[in-house]
Amino acid sequence: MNFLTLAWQEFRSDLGQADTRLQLLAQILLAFFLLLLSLSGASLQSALQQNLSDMLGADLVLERHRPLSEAQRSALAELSADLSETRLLDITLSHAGRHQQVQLKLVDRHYPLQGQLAVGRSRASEHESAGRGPGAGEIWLDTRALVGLGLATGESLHLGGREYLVSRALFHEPDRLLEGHSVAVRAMAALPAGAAGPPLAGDTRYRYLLNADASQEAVIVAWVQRELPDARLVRKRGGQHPLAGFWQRVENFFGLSALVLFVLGGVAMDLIGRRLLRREAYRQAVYQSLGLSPARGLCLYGAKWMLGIALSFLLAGLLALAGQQWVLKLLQGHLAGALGADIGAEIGAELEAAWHPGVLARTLGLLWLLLLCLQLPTLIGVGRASVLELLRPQQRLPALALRLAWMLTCFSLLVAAYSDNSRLTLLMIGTLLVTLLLIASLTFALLTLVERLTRRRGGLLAFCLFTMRQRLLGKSAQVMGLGLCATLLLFTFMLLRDLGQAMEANSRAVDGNLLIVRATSAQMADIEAWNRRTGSVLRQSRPYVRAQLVRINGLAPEAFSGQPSESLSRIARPIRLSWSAELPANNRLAAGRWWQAGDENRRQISVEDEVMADLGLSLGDALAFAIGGQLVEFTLVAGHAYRPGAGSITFWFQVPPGAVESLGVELLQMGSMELPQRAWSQLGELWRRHPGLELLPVKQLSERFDATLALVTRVVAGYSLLLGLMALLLVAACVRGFERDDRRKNGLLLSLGLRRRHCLRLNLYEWLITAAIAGGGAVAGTSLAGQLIYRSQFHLNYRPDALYLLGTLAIMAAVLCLLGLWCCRHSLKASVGELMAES
Amino acid sequence: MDHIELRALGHWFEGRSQGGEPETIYLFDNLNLTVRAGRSHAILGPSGAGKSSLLSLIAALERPRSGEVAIHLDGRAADAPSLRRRSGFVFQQFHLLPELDALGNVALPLRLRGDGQAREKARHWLERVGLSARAAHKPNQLSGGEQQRLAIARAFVAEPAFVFADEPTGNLDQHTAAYIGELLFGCVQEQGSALVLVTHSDTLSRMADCRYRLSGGHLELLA
Ligand SMILES: Nc1ncnc2c1ncn2[C@@H]1O[C@H](COP(=O)(O)OP(=O)(O)O)[C@@H](O)[C@H]1O
Ligand SMILES: [Mg+2]
Repeated sequence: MNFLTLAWQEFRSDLGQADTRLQLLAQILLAFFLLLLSLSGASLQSALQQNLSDMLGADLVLERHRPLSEAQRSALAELSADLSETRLLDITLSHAGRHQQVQLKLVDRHYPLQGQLAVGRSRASEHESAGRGPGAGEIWLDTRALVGLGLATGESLHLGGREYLVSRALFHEPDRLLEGHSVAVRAMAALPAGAAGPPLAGDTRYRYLLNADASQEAVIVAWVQRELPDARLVRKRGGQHPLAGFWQRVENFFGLSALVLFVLGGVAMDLIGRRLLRREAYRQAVYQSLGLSPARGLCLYGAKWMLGIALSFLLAGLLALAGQQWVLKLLQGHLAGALGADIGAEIGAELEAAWHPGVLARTLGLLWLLLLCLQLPTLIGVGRASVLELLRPQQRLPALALRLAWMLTCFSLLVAAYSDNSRLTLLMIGTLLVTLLLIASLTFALLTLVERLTRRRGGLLAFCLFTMRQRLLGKSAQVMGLGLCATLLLFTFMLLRDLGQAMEANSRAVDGNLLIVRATSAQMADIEAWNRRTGSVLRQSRPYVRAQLVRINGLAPEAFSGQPSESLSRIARPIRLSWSAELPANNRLAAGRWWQAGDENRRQISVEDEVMADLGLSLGDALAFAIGGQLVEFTLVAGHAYRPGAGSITFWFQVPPGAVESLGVELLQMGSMELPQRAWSQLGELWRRHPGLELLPVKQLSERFDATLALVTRVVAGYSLLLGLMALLLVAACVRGFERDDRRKNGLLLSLGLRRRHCLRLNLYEWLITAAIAGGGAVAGTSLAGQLIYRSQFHLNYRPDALYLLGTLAIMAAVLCLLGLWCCRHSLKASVGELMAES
Repeated sequence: MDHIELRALGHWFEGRSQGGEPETIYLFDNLNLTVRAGRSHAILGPSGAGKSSLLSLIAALERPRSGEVAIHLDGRAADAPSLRRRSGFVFQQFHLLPELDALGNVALPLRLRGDGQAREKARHWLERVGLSARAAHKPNQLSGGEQQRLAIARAFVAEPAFVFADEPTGNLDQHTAAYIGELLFGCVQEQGSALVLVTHSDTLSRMADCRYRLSGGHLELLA
């Protein structure tokens, strides 16, 4: 019988022990979470990378909302190897009483620069590749447009007063990547020759596809930065996928979640470790008294530990592979919704559940190191075990504070390695440390003080305080563990709820059932005439101009704000700049001062509260917008926020009326209408006359939003499940870890003639005091974390809901007390004799 | 001849008094003793005199604050780990492993050394202490006397040169104590091991070849 079989046998017998199982469970949960996160992340990253090289259609793409001047265009052509110009407009096509919103792409004869178009002779025919776009007078429609309009190839379509031949079905374009978040149905036609403006009005995006080698590329990048501040440049080489920013924020959140889970798991393992160590050190002492050398004893323990690690990694790996399938399916569904069916499908097809051996090895290696670090106090304890233990009792563990500090250091290193967001990690760790300190001092102060005060009085409560004071060290370990757990749970639930609410606020009820997204004044007049005819009502209407935020205090917005955020990614495209003399009825002032009667021509601006927080703006900042070819600078004087009850349309950026009207740019309207049922069928009339008019049925809007919300909800639910499991594990470890002490105490009390009822009451007091201290610390820690982290990391305003916080806390405290009492009842069932024999 | 020699041994602990001031607890200084193979030594003394501490020094579990512990094994000077490999322990609290059955507990020292005949030898020793019938029982299913017999079998199964026992009958009734004493001394004689026995039982100590009394920091040889 050799050494390894002994380790194996011991391991098997340990598996029967509840503590060993709890520890394995904690390890499995941690490994599962980490593996799932890194495997899914790796799959997505590699899919995005693949997608970027396949889907950009050029080496560089420059996008702008105004055309380049002739001089700029020829400069760009000079700098690059090839250049192709395309335009994108959102219009509504109508045919035989049906209408369909499409994104029309006008392409020149150089298009596409890289890759091939996939087209078909009819909707159902085979894919053929095409090396160039449609000829003059032809239009290609994607299958959804053909179905939506009831057209077949070979028929003709009226558009903007011209007749086009529908010559092909359009399946795929090689430059779909830039379409980003859109489900738009697509159409393609030839770009009219000559510099004559586009025949169709509408929000037009001008896109220049460029081929360039590395040196040309560098020159182009510098040139664009200098000459075209309002242009967006996407690069294939070393460039960022437009989705990468989105993924970054997701990772931010998961980095935090990982920290939370790991701290919970670590505390649980530490608490379990106390008991495991007691048993293990005893065993080692006996072994040494039987002639085993300490070094070999440590080896034996190490072998057993590795067996446990291997088992948990194996199980976690299998679970993670299954989980990865689920996550990827979820992502595929979401990408299809968010990016348009074919690009989503494209990335989705590349999103394959895979083992990624490199990632797997790195993740498990890191986790192994982490677990080893967590194991260090136990290892030291086991290494220190000696036969002396058997002659007289010893203090085995390094100090609690030291262990906790060590644990937090390990976690910060891990999370720093994972999330790249060192600031978030530092904030969170700092908060936890402060919370721990607070709880420790609270425990000490409260127990000492109240015990002093009640010392002269008899009664159960005084006695309870006395015993707790006597076991101060053990007690504070328990209270700190529970307090940490409560803080993390409370904070996470609060954050989840607030993120959910922030999302929901986006879907605030629109009054009316049709949204006017973009209408010129002429179109507005037509709409009103149409309304009178069809019995529809205009509910709300606000003027705006399209403006691109170019500089904040002289810096590019990304450079100014630093952190990626929803708002930042939105202002990469032109926003709607509205004006109003008075604060609109559905807004309230959140900061600064609204302009007064005399200020109307001043260059002042008010920004929506959350956007301000997102971008890191403060009153007095200078915001420069490109509006119709002019650069206009505004001073930030106020912040506004949405107030429900008076219409849903509200703008992020608002200025005084005089500031924009004088610029002489095209004024647009946004608004909402209420259509009676019969009016919907006559909507085509409007669209036929104004293909550039953007109207959006509210139903469609909410569908898009619901899809995103469903994804978030599912991810959050999955995460909450993990979190709840881990918290339960921790509480179990906490209650069990001190069960022996409690049993001993209860046995003693019973032997002294106390009733069971009184024992229960004594235990209730003890748990209530524990819960109160832990809860107090948790509330303090949560508000600190909220203050520090909400705004800087999630761009949310921290407005704690006291009722929600206290309610959650009360539920957690009640669960804790019930669990503690249940354990106590359990141990009281044993007879006095049994209890005494234990000690 | 194997022996352990204590020369001018001194030992003390730094502690704290009730008031919190540092306070040194002196156990003994300048203590001399030689423990020889094949002989049994009993150490008597009041509780708190430092008997357990002395035992841990003899067994080289702890280093003395002053003085020297010289170990001779097989005619050569040896270190603490080699002494550990050649010694067996019997404790007052028995210290059996609760998860192993009687046979497993006795076989343990041999298994730790990688002995292929662990089970056979353990069975022999179970028989020797009269517990063959309880081989498959766990320690908590045995009485105190039975547990101590198991502990003795475990201490001797690996044929140690030295056996250390710290109040092995302290937890047992008089009748059982006498039986355990006989068993212990019988095994020592049979094996030719040295025995160091800490006890406050006069009867038990009388079975030893030499008796010492530790009190007030002095070790005195009793006639
Ligand atoms: N690690 C220690 N630290 C401080 N004092 C100790 C320690 N170990 C033992 N003592 C003290 O040394 C004295 C002798 O202890 P011990 O050797 O166990 O006595 P005995 O076994 O004779 O009853 C006791 O007063 C005890 O309190
Ligand atoms: Mg003693």
